Amino acid sequence: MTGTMTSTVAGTVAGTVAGTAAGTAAGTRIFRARRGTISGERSMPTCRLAALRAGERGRVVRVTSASAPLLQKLLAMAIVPGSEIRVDLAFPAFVFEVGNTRVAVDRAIAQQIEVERIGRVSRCCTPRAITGDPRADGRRGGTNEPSL
Amino acid sequence: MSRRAVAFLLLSGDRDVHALVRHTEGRERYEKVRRIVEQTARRHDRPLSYVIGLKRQEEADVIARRVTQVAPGRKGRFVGVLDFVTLFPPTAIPLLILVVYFGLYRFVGVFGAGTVVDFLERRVFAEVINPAVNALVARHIGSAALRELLAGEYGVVTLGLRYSVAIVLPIVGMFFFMFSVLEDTGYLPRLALMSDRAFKLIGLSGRAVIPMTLGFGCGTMATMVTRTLETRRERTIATLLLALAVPCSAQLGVILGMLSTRPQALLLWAGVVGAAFVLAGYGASRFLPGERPVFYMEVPPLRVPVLSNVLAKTLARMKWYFVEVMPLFVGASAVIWIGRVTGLFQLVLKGLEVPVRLVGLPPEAAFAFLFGFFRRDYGAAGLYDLARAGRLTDAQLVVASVTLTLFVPCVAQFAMMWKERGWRSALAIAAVALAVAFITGYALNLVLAGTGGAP
Amino acid sequence: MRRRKLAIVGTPNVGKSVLFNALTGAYATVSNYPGTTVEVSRGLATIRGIPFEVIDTPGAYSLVPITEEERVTLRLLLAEDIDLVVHVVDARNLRRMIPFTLQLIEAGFPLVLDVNILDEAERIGIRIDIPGLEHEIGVAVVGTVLTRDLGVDALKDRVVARVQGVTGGITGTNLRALRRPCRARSA
Repeated sequence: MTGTMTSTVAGTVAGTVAGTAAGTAAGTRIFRARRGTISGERSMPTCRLAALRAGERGRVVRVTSASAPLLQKLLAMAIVPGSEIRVDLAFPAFVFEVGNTRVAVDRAIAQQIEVERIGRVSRCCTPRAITGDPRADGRRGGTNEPSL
Repeated sequence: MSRRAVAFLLLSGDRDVHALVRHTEGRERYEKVRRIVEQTARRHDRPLSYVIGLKRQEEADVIARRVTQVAPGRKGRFVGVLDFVTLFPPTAIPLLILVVYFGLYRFVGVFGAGTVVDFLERRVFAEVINPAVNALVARHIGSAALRELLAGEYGVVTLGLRYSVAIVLPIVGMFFFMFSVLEDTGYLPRLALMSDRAFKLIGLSGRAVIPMTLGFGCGTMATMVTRTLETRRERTIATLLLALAVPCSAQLGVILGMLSTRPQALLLWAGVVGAAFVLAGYGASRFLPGERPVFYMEVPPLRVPVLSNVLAKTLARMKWYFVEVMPLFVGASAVIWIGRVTGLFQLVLKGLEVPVRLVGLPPEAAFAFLFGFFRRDYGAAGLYDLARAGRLTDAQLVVASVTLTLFVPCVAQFAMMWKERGWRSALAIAAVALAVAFITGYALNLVLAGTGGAP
Repeated sequence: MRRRKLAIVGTPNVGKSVLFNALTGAYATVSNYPGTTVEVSRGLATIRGIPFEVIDTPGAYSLVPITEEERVTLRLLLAEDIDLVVHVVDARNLRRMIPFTLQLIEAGFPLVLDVNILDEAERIGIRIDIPGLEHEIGVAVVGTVLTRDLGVDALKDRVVARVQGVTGGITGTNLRALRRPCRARSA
């Protein structure tokens, strides 16, 4: 009884592994494709979130932290590659909007989030409420489709 | 739970599920699973939980995009302005000062600790309940020792219940109400992000602003709330600071009352206690091993507080206070009784008189310190009586107030420290508080004597 | 009739407690809500004549725990015999919330998804296609505004239907994520 159970657990772990591995490979492909499209439109250098000023927007490229709990927390707030962010405040903490959530992080975390700037630097530093940019969403989805 | 989910949790390295699988599958088979997890982890450059999570998020993105329609919506302009005012430092800091002044000082301090306490204490207890209980006990109970347990100066009813209901409950209740209002508006996360940098200096993150603020209401509840801090190190530092240098509302009420007629003394007291807070935090953050704290927090939109929510939270907190803290205080009255009957207190008092003399206070003050452990405010009240009787100079009053504030926390808070941090940390923190209190008192006494200045 | 166990899960501040109160009403054994959320509230409810024990779990973002609250929630889901999970999500942040829904489906819990705070979402111009979402993830989905008691009846209907085994042909298995074949990693 236990024997069959074990082999299945082990089997499932192995199966899951294969699935995830494939997923990551696909993820990398999407990622490159997406970057390609964007750089085709307008060349944007990447920088740290900590370098953005209030009012600036960016798209998350990579979270460089090696800490699993921190990555998990950022994941829980949907701060993942592809997410669009908008900085409301750079001091005393980094406050930014991601989707319809507003998040505050300290400088150390802001240093570990790599972003590419989007659009022109906005001079307005008033925290703005919600930004619905369906165009950006559409582009995201478009590049995602082939992987399914 | 499905095998697939268990497998994902194993891959994510969840310790509970690993333990569970080791338990149900036996060590040998578990080792096999663990090897697979390890091998998989080696093939990825990011933690597996993250790799899986990203993949799941991608899937979620597709689903969310398909079912969500985003139209250019109306923006709550009022909310936008408030957001700006509460986040932008040049306006946020004055606002913070206003919140503290009106919320904490005017409402809790002056109205709660002043007006409401006066009414309950002077009218209800001193004029109605206590005489009734004293008379009742005098008539029906023969034993003098038993009479003292229930009534009289330190009786369970006349002291224990009176202090809990007439002094602490209104102050703590009003504080909880104020805190619940702030919580319900969504202001607390803003407070946290605003103070993060300052807290980093003392080894904490902005998150600590919540237990620290709560500490000005009730140190016992605040000590429990330190659970919400991320690391053990932060929890220990916060517990220490709460025990050492954050006076609870009951104590604060009596000290403010005692020093309010001497503004310079009040400033000196606040300055020294504040400095002790910063130095102890800085010292602890240098001394304690562990990682530096990180700060991240969701900042919910501000909203108008909903009265029913605020009342529900306040009531829940007060109920907690009634159930968890008050019995300890009433019990403390019984302990005082035992101590007095057995003569144990006289012994401890003799011991305490040594450091009390050392900081330049009259030996009677030892009494206030001992009682201060059972009830923080009662210790302060003891000093108040001494001062009124002309036994303390202004300088001694400041020294005594500072020492008493830094002195070990009340018995309920100590019990909570024990429960939350374990006995080792609890005893160590209490010892540190005791030492810091008397060393600071000693130094302050020397300085004040040296400058010859009664402030 | 056997008392069914219903667990309410979701991130903090999505209306879990409001739902808990709406379901348990006067029968709730209100547990202490001190400053912490690690305590778990339990209450009794009778929904459409069926007795339930309702558990309000601590706020969690994911099944993989990083906070003490999440650990409690995971332990609870592992240890207790849960008949049904109601996952409450914020309509304004669906993108962030769905990963947890997917995890719960994966874990095999009978699930009803409650998309709450629809009013606020609409105010900022977000509309959620509830039937569409139901089709996408393959579990019962209900839209609610719990603070105004809207949608609670529909939610109760779905809850009862789910524990009675009437799922309208919808199960978690038509989820794309689960159907996707496991491919071997190509170098």
